Amino acid sequence: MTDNQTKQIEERLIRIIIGSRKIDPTSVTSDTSLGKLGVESLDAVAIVFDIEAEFKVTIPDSEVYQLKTVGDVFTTVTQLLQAQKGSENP
Amino acid sequence: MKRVVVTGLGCLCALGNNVPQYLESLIAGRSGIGPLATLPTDGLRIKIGAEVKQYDPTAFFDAPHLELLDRNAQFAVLAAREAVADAEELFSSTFEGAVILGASIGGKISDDMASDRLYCGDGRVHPHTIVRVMASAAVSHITMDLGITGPAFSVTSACSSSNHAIGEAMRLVRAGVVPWAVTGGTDACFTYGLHKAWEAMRILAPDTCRPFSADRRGLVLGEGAGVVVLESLEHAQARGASIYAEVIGYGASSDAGHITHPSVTGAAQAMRMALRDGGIAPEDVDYINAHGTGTPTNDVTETRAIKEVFGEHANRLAISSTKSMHGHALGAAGGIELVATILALYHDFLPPTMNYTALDPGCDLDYVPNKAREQQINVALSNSFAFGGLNAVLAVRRWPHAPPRSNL
Repeated sequence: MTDNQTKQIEERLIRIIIGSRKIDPTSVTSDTSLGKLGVESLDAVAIVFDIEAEFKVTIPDSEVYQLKTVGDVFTTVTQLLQAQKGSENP
Repeated sequence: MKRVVVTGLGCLCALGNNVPQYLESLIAGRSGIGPLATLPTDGLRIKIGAEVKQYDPTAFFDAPHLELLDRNAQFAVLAAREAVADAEELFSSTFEGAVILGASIGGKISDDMASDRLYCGDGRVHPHTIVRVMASAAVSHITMDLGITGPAFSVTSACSSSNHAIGEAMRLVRAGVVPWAVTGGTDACFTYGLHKAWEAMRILAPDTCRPFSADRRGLVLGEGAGVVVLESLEHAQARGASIYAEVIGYGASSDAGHITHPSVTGAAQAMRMALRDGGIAPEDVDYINAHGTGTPTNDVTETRAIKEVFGEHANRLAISSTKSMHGHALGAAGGIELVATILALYHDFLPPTMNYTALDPGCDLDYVPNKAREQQINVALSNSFAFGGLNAVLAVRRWPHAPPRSNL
């Protein structure tokens, strides 16, 4: 995964996480906690739902409530994408 | 036993998005019925309805909040906000009032959208589906929006949902369990699927709603919310609240008969119970806000029930169906109609039955045809008779008041 690809994924994720909230995307970093963005449990599952559609991945139930920061979301999604890529090109 | 009075009104329906607009439309005999705008009508035989108009939810709710609110919960919250604001200083002593609302189904539009996506789309279901669809969501959102902490729940009995909710809320206030209650009903049932289901029953009118008229062809579906603040008289007087009317009686019965066909006996029994509960004689009643759906069966059955209860006095009292203007809002009907009844008592007028053209020998009482009437009334009933034979009737009395709040 190139730096450019990584940056793009991060931007797309931040856009989904912010959703309809009035938050400046440039103020969000990987350390930003989801709670600080006003994301509580019900929002988190809605965000996961949108991420699954955008990236064509399935995030396991066990992972959903472990997501505390924007970085956690990024790590989870990139790992899933890489695992997917691995299985496509054995 | 405490006396129960009404100190706040809130309403939105096809006749207006707040109480002042609603009152103006009732007096003017305006119709909220028109071509359906919120549904695709290509596959529909019946292309009319009584929808809430010029409604932009983003004017009242921010985007993240709106994601959790089905249209029926939006209507409920807006009507409750209006009613509580109208009641002024309601929270001066406590937030522990009740919130009891009727709803025939719940978040039907969200349910329809979720089913469409699941079965005909990408097969996925949005995680907010449950909280938008559950029938009690509207009540929960009112408690959260206004910070009300007393007993709160939904009541469902199809087209009588509101009247059962209001009646039960009245009993809680009367018994002193809570000092006040926010109560009424909400429904937003315009979905393609549900409209097809109503169509299939062959009881929707193709042109308009003509209650009690010989050429009536059925009901016209509506939507909205009607909410009132009920309060014990002592609580209202202690805080110097201005009072619209007194809710004096509640009667409920079941036909134990047929799932759609109404019975004269069941309807009559509910009216008699409301009179007895209110300690009044049939001759005391001046006006009945009828269930008056505009179906051939309801209107003749309701007329016979009124004659059975009131005898000769049935020829002297006035009856009208405001559904001729705001359509049949199902679980919200009783709430919207109680607001109309209270406005009639407070502003000294009788709302008309619009679209009335010809006398039906089976419906030969005074239905206040086609034009509102200036008249002071002292006691009124508001009838709701649901599919499945679940009947609920409320009795309301005029409260002597100084020149009225304008409400216009």
